[in-house]
Amino acid sequence: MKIHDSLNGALLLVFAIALYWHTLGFPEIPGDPVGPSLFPRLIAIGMGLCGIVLIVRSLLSRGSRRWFETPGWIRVPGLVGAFLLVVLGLLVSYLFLDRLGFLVVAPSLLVALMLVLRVRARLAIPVAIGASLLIHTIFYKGLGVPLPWGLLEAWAW
Amino acid sequence: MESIAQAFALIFDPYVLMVIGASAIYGLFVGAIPGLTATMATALLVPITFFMPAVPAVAAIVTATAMAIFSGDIPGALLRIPGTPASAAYCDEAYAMTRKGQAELVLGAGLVFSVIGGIFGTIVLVTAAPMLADFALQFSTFEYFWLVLLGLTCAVFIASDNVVKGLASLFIGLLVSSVGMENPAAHPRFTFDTPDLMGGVTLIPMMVGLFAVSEVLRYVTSVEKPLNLAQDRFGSIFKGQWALVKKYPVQALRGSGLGTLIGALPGAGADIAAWMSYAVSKKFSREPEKFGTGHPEGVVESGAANNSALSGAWIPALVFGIPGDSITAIAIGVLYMKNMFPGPQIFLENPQNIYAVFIVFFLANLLMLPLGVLAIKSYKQVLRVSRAVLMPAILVFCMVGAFAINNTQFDIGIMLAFGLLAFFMEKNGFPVAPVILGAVLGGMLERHFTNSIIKADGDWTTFFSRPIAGTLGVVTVLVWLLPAGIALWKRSRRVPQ
Repeated sequence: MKIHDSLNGALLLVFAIALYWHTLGFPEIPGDPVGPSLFPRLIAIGMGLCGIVLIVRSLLSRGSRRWFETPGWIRVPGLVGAFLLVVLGLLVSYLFLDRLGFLVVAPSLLVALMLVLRVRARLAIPVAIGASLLIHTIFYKGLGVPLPWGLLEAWAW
Repeated sequence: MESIAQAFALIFDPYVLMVIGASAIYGLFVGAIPGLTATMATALLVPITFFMPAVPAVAAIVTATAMAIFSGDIPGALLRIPGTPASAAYCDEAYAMTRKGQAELVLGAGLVFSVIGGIFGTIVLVTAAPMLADFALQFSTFEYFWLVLLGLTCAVFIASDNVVKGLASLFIGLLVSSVGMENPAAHPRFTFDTPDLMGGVTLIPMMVGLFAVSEVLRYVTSVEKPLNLAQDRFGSIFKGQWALVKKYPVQALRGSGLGTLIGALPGAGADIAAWMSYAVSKKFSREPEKFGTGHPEGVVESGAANNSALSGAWIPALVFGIPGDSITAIAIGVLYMKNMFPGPQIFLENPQNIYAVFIVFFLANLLMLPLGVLAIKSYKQVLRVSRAVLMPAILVFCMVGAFAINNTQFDIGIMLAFGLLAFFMEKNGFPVAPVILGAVLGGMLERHFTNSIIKADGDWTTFFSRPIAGTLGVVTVLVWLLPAGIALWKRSRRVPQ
């Protein structure tokens, strides 16, 4: 999604102000002339200045005045589905990988995504299972990463 | 001498050789697939290299990236789609040569001059790095502070099209580096009582998000066009190459030299080197009118430049711990996680590791000749791998890779957040490379600044009072003033006399 540079600038500015305000809560350290707050405050000031320059520059320029430009892919349901699936798949892994298990999440995500990307089911399903097992073997057996079993705990090998 | 022998022993170990061979094939494959970049190849390699000792880990990254930068030329010449951004500069030229029936000549030139550029850059790296390291031993926190700041400044002021957006990206990276307790005051910043953030944002999941998840998002939101190969059978790849070497020796050397130099500048990598070299080649050519019509001169020069930039980027990375491009930023992140801190000390304490890296560079560039021919000849087969199958698999690999670093799901969330951020930034013209440079160097910048100010007892002028620090400081300030100076100069020229 492309948004107008003045809005990008405004976003940066608001974020910078919030950042600066947050650093006001950082303590002073006796004997430390710099303290934990100086560096983040300089970052906040820099970010804020970038925001202001972006706002001023884009308002002065004669370019597009559209606040939001909806990208072409938003109108193609398959592409939106694929985008959401990637985000949702990673979100589910972040929240529930331990409860569901890698060998449940990975093949499901793979099959779903491949089907949305128009891979035929008879190819998508074996590839999803094969790739998940291969990645699991490399990381779990080969590199000793404790990928969670989740629902498949009883059948762990 | 003893350390050189040790370095050879480190590299010619069956395990390391196997890693180099596998990374070479992996790099060639990733580079040759349109939409997969050399930076992405590195980011995907990192979770695996995390489990290796330092030397094979660096060897894997060096080999894979060198191969990927070359093999990015193949789809450029045959499909008119650059395999990596580093091949974009001369993609149209290469394709035009293919249309003229010179596919072998242009692919061979890509290969041969990649090797020449790579070896040239490596020779500069091997000669310059130890000398610079010797010099850098005298550096104190003041010099390092300025050096890091200069590096970050170059990344924004020289390497970005839009300085303000580049700066904003850099501040995001610096902010990321300030998360956690690892600051001079050991105060937990921006952790929001989350134990996972106490140690800071883990760099590897962040890199995988920035460079791999964002690519997957870009792929799934684009309409896939059918890939039509302009030619799928090839004669001898090396035929006519010697004639090109004899005809364009100056171009090859100039491209390699400029590429190494640009690579060594922090923030600017192989892609900028290729664009600049192509422009330089056209400017100094005796036949500039032939550029764009299928003329090998620009391909020779910029093909050498992008590979030499890879080696150049390792000069500041090894000597000062300041990455020359996104790829070395990722590599430095890996070395940090292994508690191996690049810098001049490493040349004294572990010279065998440094020599081993040099040997890998030579080996990777030499290996490129036979494997490159193989990659060209089998390109039709490579393209049979469906990207619709590959991309979901890459996504799952990213997920596991992010999880594997600390064995925590939290890092999958970090990866997703940075993947979305990079996707959004790219759509809005914010460069991503400064984010990673800021995140890798932010801690160093703050530490050197704090230590310096404590040493100077709060006296700011001390930052300019040592000769080298003062010079670096003045150069940094001059680079800051550069855009304003250029704008004033342009305005003064516009005023009618």
